[in-house]
Amino acid sequence: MLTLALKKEWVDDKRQGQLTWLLGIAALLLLVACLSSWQSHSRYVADQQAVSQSERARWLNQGDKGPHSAAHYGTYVMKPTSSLALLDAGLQDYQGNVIRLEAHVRNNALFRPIQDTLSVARFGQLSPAFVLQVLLPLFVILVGYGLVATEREQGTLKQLLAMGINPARLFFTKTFMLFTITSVLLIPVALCILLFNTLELRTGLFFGVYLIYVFIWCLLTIAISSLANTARKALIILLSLWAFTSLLLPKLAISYATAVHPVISGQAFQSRIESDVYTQEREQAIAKFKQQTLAHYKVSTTAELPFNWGGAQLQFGEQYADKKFDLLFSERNSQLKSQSNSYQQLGILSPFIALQTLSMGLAATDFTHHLHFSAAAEKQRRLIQETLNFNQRDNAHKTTGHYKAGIELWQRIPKFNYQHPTFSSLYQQYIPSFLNLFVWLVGLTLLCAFTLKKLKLEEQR
Amino acid sequence: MITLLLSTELKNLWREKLIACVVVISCACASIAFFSGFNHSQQQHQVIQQAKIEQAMAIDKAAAGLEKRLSTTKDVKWWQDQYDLRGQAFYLMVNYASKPPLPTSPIATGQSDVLPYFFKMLIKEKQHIVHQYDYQHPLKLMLGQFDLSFVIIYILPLLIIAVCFNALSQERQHGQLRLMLLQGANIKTLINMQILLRAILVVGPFLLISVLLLITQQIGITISQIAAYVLIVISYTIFWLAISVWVISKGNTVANNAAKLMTIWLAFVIVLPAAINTSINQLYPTPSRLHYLDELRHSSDEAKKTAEKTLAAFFQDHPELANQNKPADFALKKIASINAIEKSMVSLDQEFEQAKKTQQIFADSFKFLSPATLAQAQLVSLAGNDLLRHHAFMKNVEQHHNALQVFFSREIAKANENNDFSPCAGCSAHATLKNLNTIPQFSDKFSTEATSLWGILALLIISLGIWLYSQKQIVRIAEPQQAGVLV
Amino acid sequence: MTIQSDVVITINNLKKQFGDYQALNGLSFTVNKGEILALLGPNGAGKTTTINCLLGFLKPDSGDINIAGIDPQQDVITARQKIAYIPEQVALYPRLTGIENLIYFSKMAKIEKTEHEFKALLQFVGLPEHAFYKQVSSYSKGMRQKVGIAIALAKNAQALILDEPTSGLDPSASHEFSHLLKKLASQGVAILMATHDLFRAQEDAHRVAIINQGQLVDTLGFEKIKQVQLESVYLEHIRGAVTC
Repeated sequence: MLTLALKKEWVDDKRQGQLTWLLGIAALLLLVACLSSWQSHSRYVADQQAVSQSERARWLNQGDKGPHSAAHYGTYVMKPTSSLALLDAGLQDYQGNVIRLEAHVRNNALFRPIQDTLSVARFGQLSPAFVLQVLLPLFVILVGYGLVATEREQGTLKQLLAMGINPARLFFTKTFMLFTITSVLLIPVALCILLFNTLELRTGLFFGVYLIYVFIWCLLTIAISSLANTARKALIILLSLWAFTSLLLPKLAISYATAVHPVISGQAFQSRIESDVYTQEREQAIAKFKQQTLAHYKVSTTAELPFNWGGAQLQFGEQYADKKFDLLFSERNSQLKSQSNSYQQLGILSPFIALQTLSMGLAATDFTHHLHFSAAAEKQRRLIQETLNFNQRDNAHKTTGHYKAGIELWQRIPKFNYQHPTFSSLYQQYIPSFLNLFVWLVGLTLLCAFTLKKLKLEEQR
Repeated sequence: MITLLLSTELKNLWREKLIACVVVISCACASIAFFSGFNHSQQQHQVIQQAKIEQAMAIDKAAAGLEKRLSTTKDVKWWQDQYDLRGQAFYLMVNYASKPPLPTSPIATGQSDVLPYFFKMLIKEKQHIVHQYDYQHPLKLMLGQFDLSFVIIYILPLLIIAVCFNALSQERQHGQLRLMLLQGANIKTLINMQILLRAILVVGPFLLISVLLLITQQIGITISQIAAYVLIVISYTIFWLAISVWVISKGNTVANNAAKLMTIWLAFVIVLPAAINTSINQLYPTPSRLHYLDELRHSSDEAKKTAEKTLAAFFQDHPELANQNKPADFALKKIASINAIEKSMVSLDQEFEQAKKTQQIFADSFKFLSPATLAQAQLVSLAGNDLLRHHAFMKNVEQHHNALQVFFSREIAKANENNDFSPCAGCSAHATLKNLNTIPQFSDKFSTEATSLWGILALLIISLGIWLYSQKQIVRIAEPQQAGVLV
Repeated sequence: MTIQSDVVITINNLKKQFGDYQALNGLSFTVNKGEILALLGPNGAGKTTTINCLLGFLKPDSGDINIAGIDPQQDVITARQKIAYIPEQVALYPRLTGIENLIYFSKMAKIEKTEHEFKALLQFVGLPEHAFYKQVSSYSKGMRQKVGIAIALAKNAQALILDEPTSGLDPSASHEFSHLLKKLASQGVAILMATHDLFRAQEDAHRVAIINQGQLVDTLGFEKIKQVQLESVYLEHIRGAVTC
């Protein structure tokens, strides 16, 4: 029956011409999106690798200098991009891909690409994720809105049912037929995934959630088409649902999330760092540490210590500041995570929100992954400071004059080799979105049951 | 006749629950959108106010503590001393440059949420200053604000399509049009009255509420700004009405009209702007910031390596700061190094500026392809959140940065000459900056060109052209047909 | 072409082709003042095409049309002022009441009457009073048709064109309708009724014109209509033309 239905729809649509046009336009948009995305992605990968190498070389060849000078000289680390980012760049343009690692300061990521764009950029990029998340449901709606409603208007629905065709079979045939037609557009996506990725949990899930999303829209379209009296009503309802779930609700959801979990401004945050970190209390703590150290080694001046006091003090100061940074940054990150969670939870009202969250999460381009990168960068920064400070502590007292270290010390700092976390280590953060998609499927199943009841009544009328 | 048509049409529409829903949605959108934009601009206001307060408090605190500082015998490290020129210049200065939102800011957020609107100034390379930003959830930035411009550009056309797509077509399909024509109705009057009434019901509440809110909540907003806002909304609306009339004039079914109008909306509002943006990025990409960073690091390294040469070049540019009898202080050397790095980055900075200018020229030409991009450009410009105002702000920031550098270079050179940086009895250096009020302060009164409405007037003319053409096509429907009956 | 004073509707040698299909092939007939002419013919005979030409919605390829002295192809607006029309499905605004629809369509034709007069018109056509202020969406087909007749009556037109007026009506409603029609004819209105209802045609019409394949095949006068088995005559004409 599926083949028969497919054949009939194909002939019907071919004579109308609408399906061919829509498929052509959708395919063209997807192709352009994939090409431009691939170009940007390749450019970034090349730049990131080149500049990372250059930074490493710069660090190693900085010459002989005091370890603390090297700590201030610092280094920059760049976030690598995942291969799935080719399909969904997510928040990459909005969160900065470079972090400066230096002494005494914990920096935010730098160089958000969105700051270098024009206001027309806020209309979005023609990316594969955009085409699949925003435009594909429209394609489903425009192809499928009349599949049952038009048959009802024409009277052929009653005829089909009168011929003894099971309403459930008819319903699901139409759904799967619409799903089959739409899935054709996912083939290039699947090819993209296979070309640039190994088959693993992320890639499998990535493709899977898009399939579920497309299926949700196909099911919803056929259900509404079956329930609406006219094709016009079906189209209006579906377009309203699309506009609400894909355009309005995401904006309202994030506005709500940021209102309920506000984050202090950058200016206030910076002021708090200055007022909480570099304070009299810090000076007092250093003084106390000094007294404790002198007492421990039973000496009266720092010159008598068996190590360089400067290095020890620097490390103490660094650790003191780190504790404050941890408090302030985790406070801010906690609010930001709450914003993300609130937004994610509202995915129960919109399959778009659920899919967008999962898609970015699986492509490692969301805020969670950015925080993971930031944490890894901060870990590297602390490692650098500890290595340099301890080196000064352990060696500076052995030389006369100004102690200088060289490439042997710089080499001891391992190259920052960031790996994206496995999805299985983070999956718990995305459970709400998976659940939301599941709830949508359950909800639509109930809607289908109701629809089938209505179709059965149609048969009897 | 017009009264009859309007009153009957209003009766018809009101009894159909859709129009009531649309009016409610229009009102709700106006309110939510205004307050969303308003809150955003208020937040920025508050941050700027806080920064100014912090700046004023630092000056007052320094004034209050001056006497104690001058009489202290404790060891004061210069990098922790607010009365030390060097300490202020490189570490402690509380000096902000800010761009306050305009009264029209709630209309369109534009790029104001991603572009920095305040900078904490210090004497360091300007490249390290201008990339500060206000931290927000990146998802909020990606999704954008639910502001008035979002409602105008995306939602109003949808509402217009929702109420207009079946104008005349429904009567044509169901037979009322035939009867009306036989009763002597003028088909042009029919369609125009239907469309205008529906437009008033959709756009009227939105405009009324948004204008009322702008006037009552935004102090300082002028009548001409309100008039410009209303003109932009009306022009954009007329475009969509004209498109609706054009589609209806084709004489197709109601469902066909809906599908066509949705496709046109999708093309003009979603696909074309995204395609324009993508084309800009592909054809005229901005240089890589990673390479910029690489170059910045390289320039810094070179400046440090050639410190003597750097210093010599600095004194060549600033002979008034050179002192033959004394070696330059570390602070002057640092400023010289900063200068050298900034100079070496000029070409790369210019490359970025040039790329952005080229992108802007491209965007300015191609914005006429879509009424959405045109309307957005006008609304953002009216709101003062466009790149033009931002560039004026950044120019002022650079000037202020230079002024601070000049101030501190001069004062540090003077202090060096007077040996003020030498340790004194009981302190590591004399108080070389006693009055923080002498530090140059940023003036946030900078002006930009008034919003030019030529673009939106062009849209209005095009819309009226489409409307007039559609009128001719509509009249055709009522006339005797050769190929087949249209009514 | 000379128009007799009693002739209100004249169709002369009307031809209309749609692609390869000849819808009208030299059709000619007239309708006089106060006369009911029933236009009979099978599906595709050209009845609706003829009506569309009369109403000025279709341009014939050749031939003449005249309605009370006006050629709708030359001056469609004035011609339409002379015609009242009742389609098979009377198109009313479902969310307006019966009286609102009547007032609206009448005022559109610049007919100024008081509400009392419009009510009287609805009473005249037999619409139950309780239905006057109910939305038309709740009306039966017969009730909708009554409103349609009221709209036509209010216009005071010289010609009334009906397309399948009794289709879907129960016998009682059909009888009521027939009564109204005769009343109108007695007031001098020229009535052209395209129908499949042979019984109604026989009962109501002064003359019957049978068309097939776009041509007039027979005209039966008042006396002949009453004498013959109209169905047999009709089928004879239609079957004779059918090629198997």
